[in-house]
Amino acid sequence: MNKKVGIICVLCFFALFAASALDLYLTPYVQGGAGQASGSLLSGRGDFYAELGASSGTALGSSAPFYPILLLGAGVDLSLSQGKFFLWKGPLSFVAGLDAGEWGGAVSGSTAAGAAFASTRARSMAITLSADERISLNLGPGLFSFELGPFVGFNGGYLVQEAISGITSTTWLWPAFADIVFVGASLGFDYGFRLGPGRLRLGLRGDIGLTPLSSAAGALGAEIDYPWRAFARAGYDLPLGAKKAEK
Amino acid sequence: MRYACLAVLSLVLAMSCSIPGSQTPSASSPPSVLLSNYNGSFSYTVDAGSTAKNVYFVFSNTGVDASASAATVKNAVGSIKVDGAEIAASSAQPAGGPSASSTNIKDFLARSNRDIASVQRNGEIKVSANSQAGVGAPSFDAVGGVPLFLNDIDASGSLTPLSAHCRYSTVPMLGSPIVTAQGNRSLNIYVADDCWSSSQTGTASADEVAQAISPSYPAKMHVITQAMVDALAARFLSTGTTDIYAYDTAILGPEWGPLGSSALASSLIPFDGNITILLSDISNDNSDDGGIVGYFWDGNNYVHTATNGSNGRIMFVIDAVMYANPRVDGHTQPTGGFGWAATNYWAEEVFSTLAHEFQHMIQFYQKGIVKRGDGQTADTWINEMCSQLIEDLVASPNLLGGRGPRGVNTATGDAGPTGNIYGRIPDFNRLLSNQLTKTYSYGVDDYSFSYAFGSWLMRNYGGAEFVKNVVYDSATDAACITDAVTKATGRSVTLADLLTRWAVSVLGSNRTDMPPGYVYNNGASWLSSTAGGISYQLGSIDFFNYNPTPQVLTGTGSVPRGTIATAANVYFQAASGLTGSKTWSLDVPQGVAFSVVVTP
Repeated sequence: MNKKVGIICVLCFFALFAASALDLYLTPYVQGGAGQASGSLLSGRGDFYAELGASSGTALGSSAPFYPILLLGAGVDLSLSQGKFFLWKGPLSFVAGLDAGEWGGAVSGSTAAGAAFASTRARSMAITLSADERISLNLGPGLFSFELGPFVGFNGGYLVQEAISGITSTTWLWPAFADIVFVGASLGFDYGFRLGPGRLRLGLRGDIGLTPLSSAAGALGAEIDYPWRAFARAGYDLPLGAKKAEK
Repeated sequence: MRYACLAVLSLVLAMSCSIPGSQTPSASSPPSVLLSNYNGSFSYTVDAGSTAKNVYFVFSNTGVDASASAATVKNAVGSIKVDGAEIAASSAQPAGGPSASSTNIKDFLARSNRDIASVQRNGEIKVSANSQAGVGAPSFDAVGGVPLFLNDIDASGSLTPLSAHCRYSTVPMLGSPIVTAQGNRSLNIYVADDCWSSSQTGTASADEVAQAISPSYPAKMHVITQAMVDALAARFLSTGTTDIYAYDTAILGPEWGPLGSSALASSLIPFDGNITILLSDISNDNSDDGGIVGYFWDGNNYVHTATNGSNGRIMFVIDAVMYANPRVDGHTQPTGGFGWAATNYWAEEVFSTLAHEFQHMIQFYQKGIVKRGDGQTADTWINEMCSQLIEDLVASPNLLGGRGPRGVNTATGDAGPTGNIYGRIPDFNRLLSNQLTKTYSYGVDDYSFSYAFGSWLMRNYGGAEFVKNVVYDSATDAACITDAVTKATGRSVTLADLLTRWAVSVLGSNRTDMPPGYVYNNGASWLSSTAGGISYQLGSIDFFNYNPTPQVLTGTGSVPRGTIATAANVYFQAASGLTGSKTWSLDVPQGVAFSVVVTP
């Protein structure tokens, strides 16, 4: 019974889009890139490493704070445009995104003699929901798109990996309630090529968190602030009730 | 093509998720230490590699109260659990306050020395009915002269007069003043009449036998002789720079001096360069192997019209019975023979105690009068820490020598033999998790925590200069310690930071390669510092050399259920001989810092 209701709902959903003549694309993607963050978690670790690597009270070791780490993610975008009664008309479109990926940063420490001996990578596993404004222009053989919009993230947990003098440790922590939600903004651009029934999109995207991933009162007992990440993204537009992609 | 893409994707995923492992350990690698404030429920995995390691967890209740008189204290609430087993529950710690029913003499002295005004307000200074209304000025002291009735604390904690004769004096009227770097000084030593003998040598067990069989023998188990008095004078204050007076004042400055514009000036005795030592049976317990070895009471620095019971002298009281103990090793069942000598166990304890009490005397003047003007000194745990650090410093082999609070007397700076039962560390090792920051009801066990903490601070943050910086800071709470650390490093620090680093340093004390800031053990090398032209040598400390060794909790041993007070560390050995990786689930309440130390 429930299955039938579900199917009917999906059919009604697409019928509605068809009736409204919306351009509708579903775009699954994968992305990889770099990210970093600031805050007392990483700066505190850096200070600690400088102290731990000291050769005397005045000859401290050093730390390289906030160097970028490799981050991966995947998700799906649903872009809408054109339809009767719909605000966004070409070349503008609205893109609702669902992304599962990593945020975080790293810090490393060296002894006073310059030998690396420690590092920490702190990651937050999060799902973000984005709402972007996209403008698309025909350019050369394909379609150039630029998009910009806010997102809301849901922090799923922290993974802190640390190595000191050959001993490695991994800590997995659930976020405190107050640290579950964070918000930020994204911008990106890509270039789409006609491929099969849809379009292959290759582009770059940047996200910045405007609220902390972690607060001092949270599970980490320290802050992860202003995280950002920059990705190379590859996606494929699957037309759903849309006009055929022309480029 | 498809397999190539999969391979690239796999590589990228592997790089993303791998633990950074490029740091290959070497002989000079810093120790593996994690300091965190993680809290809540979380999992923690250590990969120790192929060689066996010990893994220690330290839980630090960092809800330390900045001021012992704070009305409220931050506390962590909840249980600390490892793999579901409760290690300890952090507790609410009362802000502290005097126990109304406390008759403990040391507690009274500590509270009075910290803030005599509050003790007076509470009517806690007990004076016996026959107390004298002031004794003669020290400048008229003369050996063998008329007896004085100096107030001493009796068994009930009351200031009670006892008849005493001057047995040593350098007052200008009869002798020559002693020239010191702080100016001219005179020393007067009084001995309570019931602790004096001009005939007994105090050199044999015969004294004890005689006491038992002869009612005419002095009531005290051991009595003071002139040789003992002279030895005490020589050790405390003599010409030159080879005495306790020089050792303490080179670091801390003079014990008394101009009173300036202090609001208390009219209540305090004026500076006249005299110091008095009274040898008596403190608290009248006739004990020769434990109890109160000596004390300084700031009430004596006041004129008797301002503080009832004051002797109106810059003075100490030293326990005569313990000082006169003729047993070489000090034990009740001696193995080292009889015969009083200045190198006997209890004589050395007394000399060390003089250095200790002298710090209290100097701090009252330097912090209480010069810096603050209100007569308040540091909270008890800090004041006692400073005194024990002075003991540690003057135990240098080139100075007073002896075991000192470290309990080690070796030719080199090494950490001493294993199984060591001397000094303060055995008490600390036995208890490990007591509150550090006690100001009220401060007991004998609390000394060991003050010393363990202070000896680490002093070895890492400036040696003798560190103690001076604590005493000369106008703060009376933990801020005087954090200020002194900041002076030494140029970096700001909190007491909570110091608490966790100290715990890590204790566990790393069997290593001689701990980085600056974590050093207890410098191998055979002395850690030197200089003040006022005097060089002070600090020896190494290895907590695992003492008996008992640190009583670290283990998962297989009995884990005492209890609470973890504020400013306390709980040590837990999570793994012994671990190879490969292991995961623990942990529950750590907010306010408790979680640290990990991995040792070979």
